[in-house]
Amino acid sequence: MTDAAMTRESLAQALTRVGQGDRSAFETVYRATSAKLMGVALRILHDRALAEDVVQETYVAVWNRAGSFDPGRASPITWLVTIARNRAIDRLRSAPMRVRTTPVEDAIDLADDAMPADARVEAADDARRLNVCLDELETRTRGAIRTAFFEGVTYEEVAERTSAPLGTVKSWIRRGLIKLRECLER
Amino acid sequence: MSATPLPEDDIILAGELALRVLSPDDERAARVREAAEPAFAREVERWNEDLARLADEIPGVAPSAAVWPAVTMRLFGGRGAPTAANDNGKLAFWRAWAVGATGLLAASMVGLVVLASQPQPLPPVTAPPVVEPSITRVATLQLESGETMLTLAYDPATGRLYVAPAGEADAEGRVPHLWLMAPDGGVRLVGAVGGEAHTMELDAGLRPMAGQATAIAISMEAPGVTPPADAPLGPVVGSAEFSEL
Repeated sequence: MTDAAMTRESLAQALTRVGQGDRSAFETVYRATSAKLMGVALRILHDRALAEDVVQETYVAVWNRAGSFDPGRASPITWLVTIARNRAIDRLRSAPMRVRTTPVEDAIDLADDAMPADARVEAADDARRLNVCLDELETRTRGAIRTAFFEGVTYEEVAERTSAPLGTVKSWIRRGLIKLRECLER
Repeated sequence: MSATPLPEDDIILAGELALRVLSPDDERAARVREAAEPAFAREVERWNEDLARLADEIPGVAPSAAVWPAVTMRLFGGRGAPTAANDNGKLAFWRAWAVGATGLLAASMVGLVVLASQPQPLPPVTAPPVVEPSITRVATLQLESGETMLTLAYDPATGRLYVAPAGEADAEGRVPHLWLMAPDGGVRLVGAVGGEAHTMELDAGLRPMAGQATAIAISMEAPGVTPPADAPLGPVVGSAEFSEL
């Protein structure tokens, strides 16, 4: 019974039971997903202690909000990742100075982002489809969207990082989002 | 999900909100719309679903063992929780240990395969039928050197045995096997100890034994050898009381 082997379906069932107050299911969900959510929080915060705080807050929120999880509309893992990422970003923006003191890790992350699409591990069909659609975008648009997602930064910071005017960055990402939506609907 | 498609600007705004690129003021305004307009909220949800796929490429990182107990403490606390009647410091410690240490574990720990136990009657609880870790039996096995080799805790309410081996792999390649020892002196094989700490759901076959065992033991078996269920073949390197909390 490895945690990683939990299927989407069994995870969705467990999360549904969490929504009904089942603590055993809650523990199951935690064990199956906490490493992933920690990875997401750490990616945004670059600080283990902050990331662990966020993971803790995330599961408190999961317990309280699991009743609203709808397996027909969201996959359990994206539902959980979204909560964790949003919490991490809230934390990032409430303590910007502390988090900005990690230039080395930032540099590593930028290098990661430069990785070609074919070198990325693409686990699920949905992820593959998203990456196919992202790859249809212009390089700088794709880069801006990826930076925003992985670093949790606003338009303004994407503009700073890419040394491009704010208005230009906005139009890259907006056009990119529309193309992405069109592609995902095909 | 029907209905009129959203205007393109709203689809974009929902995507910007999901991506979190908006300035604080713009984000607040968009959150208001999200709260007030179900169609817009659904679009945000849809973007979350699409964009969160990017996280597939983020490698997992185990949080420390302290996180899960912190979550349960925050949510269920000690005082005022449904099981407060049968709670105490020792029990809380083991509950936290079981979930934390074996759920996450350090790379140096060893895991294992375990079996069963008869759920014991739970202490009287005047609470809703919610299942939570309710460790009733624990053991810490030390080698003759005094070094801890393995720690385990058993929760009859869920049938889970939490096992955290702490030792290095055996130099001769032998495989540690865990045994339960009954009050009458009989022993029963639980299984081989593998590479990492983890939790096992005990299967029905072993349950009567796990609820009653008074001690555990570890034998070292030659690679590829599975001893009979009632007697180790290799040397027993340690045993420990399987004490009730």
